[in-house]
Amino acid sequence: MSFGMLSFSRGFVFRRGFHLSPFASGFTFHRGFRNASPNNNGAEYIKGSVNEAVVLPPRDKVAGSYHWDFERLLSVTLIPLTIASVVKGGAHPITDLCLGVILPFHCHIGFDAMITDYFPHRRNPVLNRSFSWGLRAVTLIVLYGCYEFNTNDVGLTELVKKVWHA
Amino acid sequence: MTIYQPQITWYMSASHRVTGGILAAVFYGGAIAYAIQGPLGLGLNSDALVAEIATLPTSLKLIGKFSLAFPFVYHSFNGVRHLIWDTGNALTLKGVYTTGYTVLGLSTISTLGLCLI
Repeated sequence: MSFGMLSFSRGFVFRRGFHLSPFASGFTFHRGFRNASPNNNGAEYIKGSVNEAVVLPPRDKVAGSYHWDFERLLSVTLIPLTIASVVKGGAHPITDLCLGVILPFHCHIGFDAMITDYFPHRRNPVLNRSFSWGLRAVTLIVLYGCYEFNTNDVGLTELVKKVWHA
Repeated sequence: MTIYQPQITWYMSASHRVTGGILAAVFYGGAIAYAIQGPLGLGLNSDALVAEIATLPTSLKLIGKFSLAFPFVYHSFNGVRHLIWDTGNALTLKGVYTTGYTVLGLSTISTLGLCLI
């Protein structure tokens, strides 16, 4: 009788499998596709079956090629602005005003590109969203700070000139 | 990434992003500090900053100028290089390398000039 119970228990253990490795439960160091939904596989445009026509995402006035154009426009306007501030070398309220608006936007777009590159929405949805909204809040504070500095203090170009010759 | 052969292409691209990030971080930090200093009572203004910097030794001032000038100048010239690419020019291997070396050369000369002012 004990011999029968022993063989039963050993067979039970073999049927379940005996894994000592933590990787057996699906643990991986690299998050990889863990957050990707298994139903859509990133094919967010395919609705219904694969035999139906693809529904493209809605057109966005802010994203896509308009965003690209706006980004290049800002970068281009920064060139004469920088040259003007370096050549004039002194306080000029209009240059400061333009710099105080265009520079924060330029930095914002740069930081936004870094967020989309290193924390893509498909892989890190929570980090991506929190960083994006945090960046927007911070850019607003920077815009306000530039306005305050240009109004109550010497202004951006004059600051650089003074610091450089301190 | 550390096994990829060092090439001027991706080194300059990474440097463009790094210099941009550093400059923007300094700019953002300064602007935010100035904006929120009211309730914190920090007393930041341009005169205090200039007075602080004037007390530094010349070597530190030079290091400071270099660490501000070089990223700014490099990022600006490389930005122009990016805009040239956006017009569709210099998108060949030769163009990329020529413009790359031009940017590096211009950056060094300009940084030297700015540090000596």
